[in-house]
Amino acid sequence: MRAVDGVNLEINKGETLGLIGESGSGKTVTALSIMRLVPTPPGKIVEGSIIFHGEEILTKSKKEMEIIRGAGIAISFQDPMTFLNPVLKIGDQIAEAIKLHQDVDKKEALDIAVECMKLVQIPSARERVNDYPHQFSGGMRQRILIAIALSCGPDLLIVDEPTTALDIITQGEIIQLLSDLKEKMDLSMLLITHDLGTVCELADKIAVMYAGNIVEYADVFSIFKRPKHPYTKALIESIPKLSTVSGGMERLTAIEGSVPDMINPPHGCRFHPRCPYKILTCSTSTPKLVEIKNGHFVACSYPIYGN
Amino acid sequence: MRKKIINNLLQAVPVIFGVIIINFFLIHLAPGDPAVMLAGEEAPAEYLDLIRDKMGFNKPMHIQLFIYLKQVLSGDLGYSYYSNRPVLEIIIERLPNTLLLLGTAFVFSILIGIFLGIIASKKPYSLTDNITSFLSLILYSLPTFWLGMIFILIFSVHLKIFPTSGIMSVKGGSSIFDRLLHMFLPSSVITIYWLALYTRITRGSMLETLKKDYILTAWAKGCSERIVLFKHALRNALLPIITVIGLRFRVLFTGSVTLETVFAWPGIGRLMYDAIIDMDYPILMGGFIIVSIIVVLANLVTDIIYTILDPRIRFK
Amino acid sequence: MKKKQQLKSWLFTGYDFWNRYKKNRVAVVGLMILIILLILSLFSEYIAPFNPYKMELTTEAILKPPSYKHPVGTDAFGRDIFSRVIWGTRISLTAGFTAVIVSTVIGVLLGSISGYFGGNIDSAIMRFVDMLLVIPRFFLLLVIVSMFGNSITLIMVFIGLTIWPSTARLVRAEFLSVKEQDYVIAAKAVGASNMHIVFGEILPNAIFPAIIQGSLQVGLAIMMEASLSFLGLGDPRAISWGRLLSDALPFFYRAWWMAVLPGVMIGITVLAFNLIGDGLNDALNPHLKER
Repeated sequence: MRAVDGVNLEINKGETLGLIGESGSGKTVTALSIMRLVPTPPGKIVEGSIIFHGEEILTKSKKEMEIIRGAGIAISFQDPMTFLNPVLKIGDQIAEAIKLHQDVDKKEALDIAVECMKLVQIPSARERVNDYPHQFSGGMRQRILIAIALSCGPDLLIVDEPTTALDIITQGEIIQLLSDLKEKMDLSMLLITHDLGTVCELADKIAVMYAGNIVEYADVFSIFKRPKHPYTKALIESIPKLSTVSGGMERLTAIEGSVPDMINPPHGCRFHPRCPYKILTCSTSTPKLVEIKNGHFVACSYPIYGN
Repeated sequence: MRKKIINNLLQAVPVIFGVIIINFFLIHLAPGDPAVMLAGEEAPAEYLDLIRDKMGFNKPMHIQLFIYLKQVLSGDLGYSYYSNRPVLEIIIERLPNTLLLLGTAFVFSILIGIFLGIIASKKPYSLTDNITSFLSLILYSLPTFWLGMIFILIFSVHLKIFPTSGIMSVKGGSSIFDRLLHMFLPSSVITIYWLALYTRITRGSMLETLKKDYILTAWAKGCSERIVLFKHALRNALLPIITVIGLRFRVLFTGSVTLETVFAWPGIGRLMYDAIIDMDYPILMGGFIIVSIIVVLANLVTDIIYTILDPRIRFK
Repeated sequence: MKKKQQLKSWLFTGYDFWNRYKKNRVAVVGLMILIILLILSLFSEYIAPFNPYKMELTTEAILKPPSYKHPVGTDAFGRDIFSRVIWGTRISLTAGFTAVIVSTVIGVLLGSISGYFGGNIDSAIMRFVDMLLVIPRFFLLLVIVSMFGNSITLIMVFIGLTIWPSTARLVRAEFLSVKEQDYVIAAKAVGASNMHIVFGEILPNAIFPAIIQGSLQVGLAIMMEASLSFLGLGDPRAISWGRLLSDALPFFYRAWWMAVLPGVMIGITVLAFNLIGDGLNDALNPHLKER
């Protein structure tokens, strides 16, 4: 089973790339693969290359990877409940990352940890550094995960579903936090989410994933205003909107069908069973990601034109 | 946390009462004259009357129960008519020997078991893993006293490395080395038996813990395998292991009865065996009460340790 | 017509269950061992080469090492040990099964009452169970057997009396969880009586953990009986493996063969039941197992 097949991504310094798609589309696997965190039985990276700062990651040794993880590339995971170790103090958990990658002693590491907590706007950081994860709220724990990821000033920050496990108000706070951090620290970020609202606020470029493939890749404006792939278009249209012009309410448009079975994916284009624009070739040939306009890539045999 | 500890203490008290009450009912429900049971078959009639008076056998049941409770709680567990000494005194005399045996086995089996369990969890379902799992299962199914006999046969009778029984040599005096030699075989048998269990439990607990999300976070920070296993996984995996250790205390003493018989080790277990042969009921009942109390206390300590180690309980 | 359909559905469940049980290969081995043991115990008269009681008190006959005639030698009374071991199977299996039946009946009864009615009844029963779960069972057993008698029937019942608490706990837990399930509430809404709910809906689900626990307890009960016999508290008329081991104890410097086989048999039997218990667990709880 190929969880991820044919993904081409590029992130430049200071850029935020949003990776959107439904649950199960392979977004998290992509992120884990970048850091080579996919458990190797049963997973395996079959083909391709991952280049970080001009170097090939796939050939690096275990020790070299340990150095890159946390300091070069860092990831903040999606469920703040389960991704923090319940028996360790959160100050220690942040300081651990620092001590692994920087030459500081215990006390200095803890001081830096407190600074990180302040950076992610956790109140009373100095007092709370010796508390345990269960003593924080969900939103606070998400901030802690981000703090851990940022603690060594990584070149690339991967944020996996930062808002999924939170209520709507906290979601807004986290998005604001990421936006502030982005500005303050000139972060390069890979933002993984299925929430289009989050991504349009934070991302410069967007890659749309479906069933393990990247189906469209462009800057955020083009994706939202001029989507070329039917899936992207359907995603954008499925966002509930408050229509003040028509004065009434619109029906929510859902995408027909469901996410394909990854063990036996459909022949040809994986989206074609659900696509309202499909033509004959869609079920036989698999479209590749091609650049149809400057910087705008689509993987579709019959992309949408002129909007 | 203090509240929880006090809570645990309070829960232990009714259990101890319950044990004493069970004993009381056993004395009165058993066939035969309770006075004879407590004083022995050979006791003269005056002594029997004395017992009946002291225990209030002619009074109503609930008064008798109260008298008995008061007696036991003040340390009077009756007299062993075989050795003519207070039961409590005899038991306290023999207890350290058993504790010595069980204590060393306890410590070693936990340390080695957890270590082996961690190693086993690194390569689950491999051939070595399956073989060791199966071997543990076999070891755990064999009767410990039989294993003791086989050990004696091999190491004492045939290879003549270790003495066959007892706690010290008649001639050798009480040198530490002599003691250690005598202790080695019985202690090893118990250690091996429990080792099998703790290895399996640790392996299972570690495997469960290693699947958790926060382990992925640790890897993502760049932790080495050693740090992930020992700092992140083990700290969490230990909690269910400690629970199991606590549950096993009562069986620890159980094994001592048969094993001490095989090795002629002068501990509580052997005392019970002698009491069976001599039909010395006060010792049997006294032993039951004392060992129950010890197990209750051991469980209490385990609960407290668990509370200390799990911050989720410590800081509510 | 209904009976036929019911029979068919039972057959299907049985077939399905066997398929799942088969998957655990060691569990199947356990089952095969059990079958062999059952054969040994049922047909001891035909399988054992010698009369296990027959003594031959001549110096040539006693304490003989293994030979073609006596595969594991003879004991201090000239009796063939191999035959005695075969006969011992009957006692051990009977003791194990009986004790577990006693334990399961009491455990299911009390666990159901406790779990279903809740409240004060539940608290009272559970306090009692919690206490019994802390105290050392074997010590209690020693006291009971020495004071109340050691005929084999009594021993089996007494062992059952010491091991029922864990079953009760399990059954109560099942009752507590099933009680809140939708299909029970639905049955109540339709007006089903308490009896019907307990026997028709809850008990069929609650019985499975009790059965699994029971199969694991047979090994425990056999071990307890063997230990009792070893200490001399067993039924003196019964040929028990534990008793064979205690016979061997004073002699094993000179006659090591007396000790080997009985202990091995105990181990194999307990192992078999452990494997079967594991197999039942996997077959009845397939969603819990992960590979």
